Amino acid sequence: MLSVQIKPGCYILGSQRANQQVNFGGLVINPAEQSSDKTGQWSLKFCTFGDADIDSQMRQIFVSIACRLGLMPVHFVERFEKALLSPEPICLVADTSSLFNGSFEQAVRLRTGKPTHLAVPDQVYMEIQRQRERSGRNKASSKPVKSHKNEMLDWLRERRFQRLQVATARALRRLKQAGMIIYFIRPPQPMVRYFGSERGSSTAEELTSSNEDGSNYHRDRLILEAARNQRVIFSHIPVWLVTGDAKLAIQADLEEFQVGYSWLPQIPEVRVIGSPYIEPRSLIPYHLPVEEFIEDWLWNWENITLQLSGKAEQQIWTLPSGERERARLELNDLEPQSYEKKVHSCERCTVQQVLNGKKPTINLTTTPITEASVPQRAPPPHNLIEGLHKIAGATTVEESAKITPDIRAYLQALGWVEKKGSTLKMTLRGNELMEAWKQLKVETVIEWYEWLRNASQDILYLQPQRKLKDVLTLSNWTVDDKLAEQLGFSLKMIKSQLLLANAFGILVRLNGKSWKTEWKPLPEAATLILNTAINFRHQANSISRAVRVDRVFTTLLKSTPLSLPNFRAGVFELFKQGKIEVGGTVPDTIIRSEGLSGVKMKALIPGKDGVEHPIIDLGAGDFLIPGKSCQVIIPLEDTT
Amino acid sequence: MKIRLIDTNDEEMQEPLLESPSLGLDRAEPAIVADWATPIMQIKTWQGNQLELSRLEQLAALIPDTSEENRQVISWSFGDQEIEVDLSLVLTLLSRDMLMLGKNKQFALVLE
Repeated sequence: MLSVQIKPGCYILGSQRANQQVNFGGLVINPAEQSSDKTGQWSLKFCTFGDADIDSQMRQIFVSIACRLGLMPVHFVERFEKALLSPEPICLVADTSSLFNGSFEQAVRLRTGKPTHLAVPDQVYMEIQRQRERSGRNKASSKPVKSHKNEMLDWLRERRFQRLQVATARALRRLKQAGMIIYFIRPPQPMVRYFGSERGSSTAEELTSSNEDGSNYHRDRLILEAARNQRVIFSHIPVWLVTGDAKLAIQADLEEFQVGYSWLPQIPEVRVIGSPYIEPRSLIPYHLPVEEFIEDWLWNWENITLQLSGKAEQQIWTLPSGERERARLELNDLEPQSYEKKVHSCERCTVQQVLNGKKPTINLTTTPITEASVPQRAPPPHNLIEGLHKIAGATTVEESAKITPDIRAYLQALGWVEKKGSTLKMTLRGNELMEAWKQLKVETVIEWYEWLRNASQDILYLQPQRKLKDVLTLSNWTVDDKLAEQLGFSLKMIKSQLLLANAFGILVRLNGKSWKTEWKPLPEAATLILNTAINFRHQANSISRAVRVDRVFTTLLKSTPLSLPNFRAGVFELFKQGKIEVGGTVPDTIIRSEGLSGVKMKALIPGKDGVEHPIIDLGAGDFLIPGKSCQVIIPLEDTT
Repeated sequence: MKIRLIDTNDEEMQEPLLESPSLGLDRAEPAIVADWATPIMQIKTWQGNQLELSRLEQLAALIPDTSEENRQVISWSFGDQEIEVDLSLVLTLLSRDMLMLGKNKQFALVLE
């Protein structure tokens, strides 16, 4: 399943750095079929930046991404091209540069349906590891190679350096996902000792001497020896060393290897890439879905922006900021929606303006993307959804004028409505949320959770909410007075913000205390709930297998607080998967006898008139799973 | 339908330089002849109309605003995904790639 989802349309593709929006060009995404919502043919036309150095850097980046994805052909030496097109069996040995510049993948593609043995020397894996470690080290010093030109060039060079570490690893993953078997090869042991012992064949020492003359000597030698060993094993078929490194290519040729030397093309006058495309050597058509292209683009730039041409609204897709989340994403351990998507207002701009060089970069100092100013006192959360309903249904100026100023200010700051003349109109984002909310019912628990999770990203864009989130810590609860003091808000104002945050799952507000939460993907939330229930029962040394659900909720607050929507979706998921049974076996007298006040929280739920905001009592057991009493949960996997 | 790459210096045009596998098109098949050696690209639509387009280098100007009457939209299958494809874009990209790779510049692409 693809992680980035986008609708057909004409977009401005860009990225954000520090305080600047950088637009790369116009991305036209056609529907797969007429009047279809699925994406089909697409093309990206690059703009120019009016500065030779910046244009040159950008071109290099564009060409290398395009070649890596197969959207532009790399050059191969002629005899290698003939070998690739021949039906005879061959063995291809990759070097790091051939994975990075896309030539190895393009060579493999030309071998589709022909007998081909693919091999990657251990030295390549070591270099990938080295790049990753080096990246971490550079991050710590936060001092990229300093440019004498300007900040923009610095940024591009920094991006180029960052890209190295992910591009090669992603190339290997793509090959494996395409069903290719890649063999791990290494030089015979005596050769490793002979050539690698001086530096231990690891690259630790090379890190400190990468600028020394001939620092690539050991690396190249180990790749050559691995290829030579492969040639001994496959004496009956030609072994080609695929490389984009000119020095290695010459040396390999000298040692009578078959060399598949490759190099990137110059950027052509026609600054367009797109898909489907026809591979120019085999004349076979291929298609790279635009979602895959955008995903790769995202990994290259860390954040990308997509703005519909002529609209003042922008989507920003961002990689997870934490190293752990990124690692899990690379390991396919996170849900696809782990790429963070935000939608917010921005300067209106068209593709033609960008392509004509009028808006390649836009200063964001006047339109900060991080937060929006709003009145400190937040309107009740349900009023926001009701306001959205009213504006969606408003046909006259008078109708939209009925929205109170505070709700209007919040809806505008959230980017859900915009002022057009004297009336308020729904934005695309507002419409998207409104339509999704209308589809929600009492029984659509997961969709309800998804909706709140999605909308909470916009809520966090509000200045008071962002401040609130910064002040709260995950490990401890905080009382209202303290928060008000820390933020310089009045008690009434802080309570209004806490109610808003609680309704949108940003925190848990219970008995005058607030716990900061993090949205957990469903499998993770379900596991947390299940484990907590099992542990709770063990600690209580209870004979009964049933655990009160409100106890699970409050126990989680001490370690990993889950918001009410997240908790409900997790319990629902466990029930759906048959991992728990639920029931209503706790008489009120017991609750009273234990002197518990219960877990009572406000929630924002779909109702007959659009939205309801009841106080939910988790102990009553009538909220978590529609139609089922859920005062207690009974873990089924725990049979001890 | 197939794409054939023909050396336009070879007056008899006996053997194509390259011939694609069948493209698996399932609509009325357009015939497109793109002669890169001449400044004019001729496209014959499946209705039989002759269209004279601009120089190859300027063909990109058609993107993304290819006018409706010039569009050669056909259905194309990629695995389980079927999408409508505007051939003029695909051929523009192909011609760019051919020129970039320094292939014989005196060639023509024939779709038939």
